[in-house]
Amino acid sequence: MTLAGTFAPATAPSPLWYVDRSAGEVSLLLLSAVVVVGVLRAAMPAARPLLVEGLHIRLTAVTCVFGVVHAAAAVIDPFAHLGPLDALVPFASAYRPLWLGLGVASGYLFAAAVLSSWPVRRLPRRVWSAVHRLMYLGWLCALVHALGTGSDSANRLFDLLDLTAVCGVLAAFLAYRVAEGINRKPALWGSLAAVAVLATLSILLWAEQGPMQPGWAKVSGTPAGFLHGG
Amino acid sequence: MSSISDGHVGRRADRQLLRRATYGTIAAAGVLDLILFAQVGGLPAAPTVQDGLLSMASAFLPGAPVRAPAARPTAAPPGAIPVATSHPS
Repeated sequence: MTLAGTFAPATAPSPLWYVDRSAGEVSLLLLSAVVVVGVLRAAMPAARPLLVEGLHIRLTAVTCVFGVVHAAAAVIDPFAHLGPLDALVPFASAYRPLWLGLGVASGYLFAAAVLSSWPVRRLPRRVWSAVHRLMYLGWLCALVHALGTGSDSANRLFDLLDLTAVCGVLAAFLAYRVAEGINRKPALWGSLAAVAVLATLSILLWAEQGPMQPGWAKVSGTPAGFLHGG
Repeated sequence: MSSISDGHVGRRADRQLLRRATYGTIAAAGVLDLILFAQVGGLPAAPTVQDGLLSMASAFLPGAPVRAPAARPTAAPPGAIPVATSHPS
């Protein structure tokens, strides 16, 4: 259990630290795939529902597994000294609190979408839709968490995978969700498309100016002892 | 009758496709996790795997992986005559 002010770094990374980072990146990619398939399902409900719905559910299940591995490895790993409270209480960690907190927030939004849908829909249709749409925000939180936490932001392979995830989700949203809705409500869906494109460009620009630059570890809120001792 | 049969066949094909997609996703996620684990952990196989993936990416994005030259450029020796070139077109 570690919260702000009680930080003491371990001397060297453990394999769990690497499990945490690799599972986190895979979780982001899987979550992106879940969002893409969900967008297809929402935009074309009559198109092979058994396949698309089934894929959406199964991808969600695999994402849950990798997400749990990511969080569990972060908590068990002795290197960053994170504890259960850091994984449960957003923005309370001593280690990069804002960026870690976004990951926790994303986890809660994901859990809300899953628990309100599985094994049966428990909410009225409109409320369920609203909760499910919050996953756009949840996905954004996960993306910014992955970039802002920053351990692998300068890694070209991680950057390539992040860019693939961003392009996939944005393309699916514009090509299917916006294209389907813009004839009915042009102002609303035009605005949503503009917001999506601007948000994506802003995040990419921020990532290039911030997490991908040297010295981000210090800027992102890494405790001083961690920087010098590990 | 024919459409019912077609629908049944279509559903069965979808189930098979779904099963394959599920196994494929699990396998791909597992392999990618291992690759990323090897890379962040600095294991010996990691650079080769990364180079392979980047090569595959460059096949779709020509010119993307611009690499630094093996040796830094050096100054011309004193007295060397500059040569101007132009594109043939």
